[in-house]
Amino acid sequence: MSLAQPLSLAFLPSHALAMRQEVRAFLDEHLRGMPADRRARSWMGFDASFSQAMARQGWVGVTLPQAYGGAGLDPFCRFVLVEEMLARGAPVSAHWIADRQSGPLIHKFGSAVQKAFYLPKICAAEAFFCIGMSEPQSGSDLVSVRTRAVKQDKGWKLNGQKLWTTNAHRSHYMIALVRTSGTTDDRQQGLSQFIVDLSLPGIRVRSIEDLTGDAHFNEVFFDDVVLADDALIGTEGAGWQQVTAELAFERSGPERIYSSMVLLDAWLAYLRKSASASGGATESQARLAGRIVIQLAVLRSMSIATTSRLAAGESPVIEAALMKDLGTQLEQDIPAWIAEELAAGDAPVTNDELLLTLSYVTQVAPSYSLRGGTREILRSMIARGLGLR
Amino acid sequence: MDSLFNDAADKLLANLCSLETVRQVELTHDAAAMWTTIENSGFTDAWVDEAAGGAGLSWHDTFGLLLAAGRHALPLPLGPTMYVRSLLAQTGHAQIQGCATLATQAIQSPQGEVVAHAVPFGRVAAWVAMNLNGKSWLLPTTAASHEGPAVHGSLQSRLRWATWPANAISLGDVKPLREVGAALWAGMMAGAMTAVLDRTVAYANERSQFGKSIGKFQAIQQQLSQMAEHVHAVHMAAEMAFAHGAPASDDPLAALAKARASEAVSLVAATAHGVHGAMGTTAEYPLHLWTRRLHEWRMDFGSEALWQRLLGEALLQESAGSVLDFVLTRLSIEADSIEST
Repeated sequence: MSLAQPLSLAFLPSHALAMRQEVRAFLDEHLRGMPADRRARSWMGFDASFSQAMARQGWVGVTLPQAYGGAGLDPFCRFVLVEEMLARGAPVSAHWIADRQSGPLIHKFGSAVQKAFYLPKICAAEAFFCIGMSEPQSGSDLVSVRTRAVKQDKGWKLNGQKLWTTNAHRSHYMIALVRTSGTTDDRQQGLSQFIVDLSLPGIRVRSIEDLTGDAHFNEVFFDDVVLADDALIGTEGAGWQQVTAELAFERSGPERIYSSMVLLDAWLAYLRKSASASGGATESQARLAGRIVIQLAVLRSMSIATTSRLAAGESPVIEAALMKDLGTQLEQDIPAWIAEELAAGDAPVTNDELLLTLSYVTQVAPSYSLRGGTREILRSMIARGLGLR
Repeated sequence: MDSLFNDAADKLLANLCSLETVRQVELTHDAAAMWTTIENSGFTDAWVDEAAGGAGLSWHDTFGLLLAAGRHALPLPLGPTMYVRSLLAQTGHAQIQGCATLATQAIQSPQGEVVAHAVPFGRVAAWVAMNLNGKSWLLPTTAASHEGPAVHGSLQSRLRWATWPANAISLGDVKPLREVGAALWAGMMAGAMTAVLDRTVAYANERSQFGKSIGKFQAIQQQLSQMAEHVHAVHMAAEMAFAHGAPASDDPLAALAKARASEAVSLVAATAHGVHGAMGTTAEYPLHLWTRRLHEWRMDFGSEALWQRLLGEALLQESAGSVLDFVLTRLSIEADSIEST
């Protein structure tokens, strides 16, 4: 295929653009006084009351039907909403996974009863979700999961362990990918997805502190956890196909270009201030600012083009992979480049907020190209799309 | 984009630019027959108003033509000629014979001698548009001497007019030739990179080592995937520069496109050559038709260093506002801002 179908320019429709001012006014009010190093956490920033305030605006589960409490808006509206939230570093973590992955998954594969039960809670930011995919021996090779649900006369019995489960310690539910038949040799066959109520007996959650001192991901242990029949979501044995569809949502959209935006804005504000004192930015500072903003603007156009293909009912899996890899590369380059520039001169940097933001982003940046599929996995997908064989 | 127009242009250029013909033009600098066919096709007047006998199409409509020029390694300045002909029509001049290119580094000495440096397509163009002393001019190359550097296969030239040519044509006030060149070149570069990617993927599938095609090796797959990502980005950047019509002075989208295209050249060309092995560096294998162009085009009208700095200065001069604000106001395309025809 190569470029047989290159991403062509697409546009945000006017009804989506019209949302922007309202979102900005909301953020002005709710982010007032929050320092950059806290905003830089953005989709790792957990704030249930912020999520509930967003829900009152109708902005959690924006693409879900109004019948379930959603806003029934199209992916373009979600694009504008998410773009504004992430560029400003809003603490969206509490509802983030339910909004972008679990909600759409339940809407697509859930029964009428499941939809009626979970979706209104998601849209009200009363039910937070986490995703149980990785395990100690299953990272990129996801089909090798060993956590197993065994059918009982009534319901299922769940045993095993999940790892790197973001927000498990403060979520109400987990959507877990587990084996229901066969062995790991059966690969994609015999996997199923369950909605696990994390308050059930037999579940133990242990937080893992990360290198920045935060604790967002966890180990989750299942010890003879009894699940009701309706914990199964979708079709038994079709878990792999469902997860693949879920990850397509995960990889598209503007989520993959804005993780370092708060740092970038903080650096530019610092440059403008020190440049006015010293008579202008250096050529190398200006060039770096230009390099970043150009890459960003091109990625944004690519992201809108991908969103428009999704909105048209297509499944731009390769395009989304390609965009995610480029986008996360820029997200990771930004802290590295800014660090280089900041320490290029003789003068000490005394702006602690900027330094804290830089060190936070630098330290978490490796995760940008891990979450949702590693760089190597994405590039293998792109290679297949290119027709390499 | 106008797909009928672009498909027809692609077909014409594909037929005209056999590998053998392109090589021939590069070695002899004689493209007269090729140009006559293009001129007769009418594509040269795509941007001339209908009232003046042209097709009255927009830049965005005809983006595919510039892609095709790059993809087929057209050894002639078709895009620049289209721009110059639209200027001539606007200023009420009669049309020129032959093709025209753009020069951005032209200097006139006090004695009246004019030197245009690094003129792309200078060896095959009949005319060169340039800004001199606050005015824009079209000078005939028949009155100029070619000074080099005589790079093997290159169509670039330093041109010297010892005296002011009698048939020079005034194009009026200074025109944004650097921005126009930047946008046109970004389109050609996107097309050339597409050709390089296609050819490299095909080669990786054909070439066998260790008992299997080298495209099966992850090391090769990772490199080609990364290359494809950049080619897609350049394609998008170039299309953005065509969205609003002919670039104005300090046009941010022309800056974006040329910076992004030039930035990708090293990686795209190096990956293609790496995958091709020694074969890719031979005269016989055609990879160099595109990689030589890409390295030259990267520098024409300013490399990424120039355009990144200019746009970065504009960003830093904003007294307030976020990076997203700057992107939304300067570097984003809305449906109603597309130049319509």
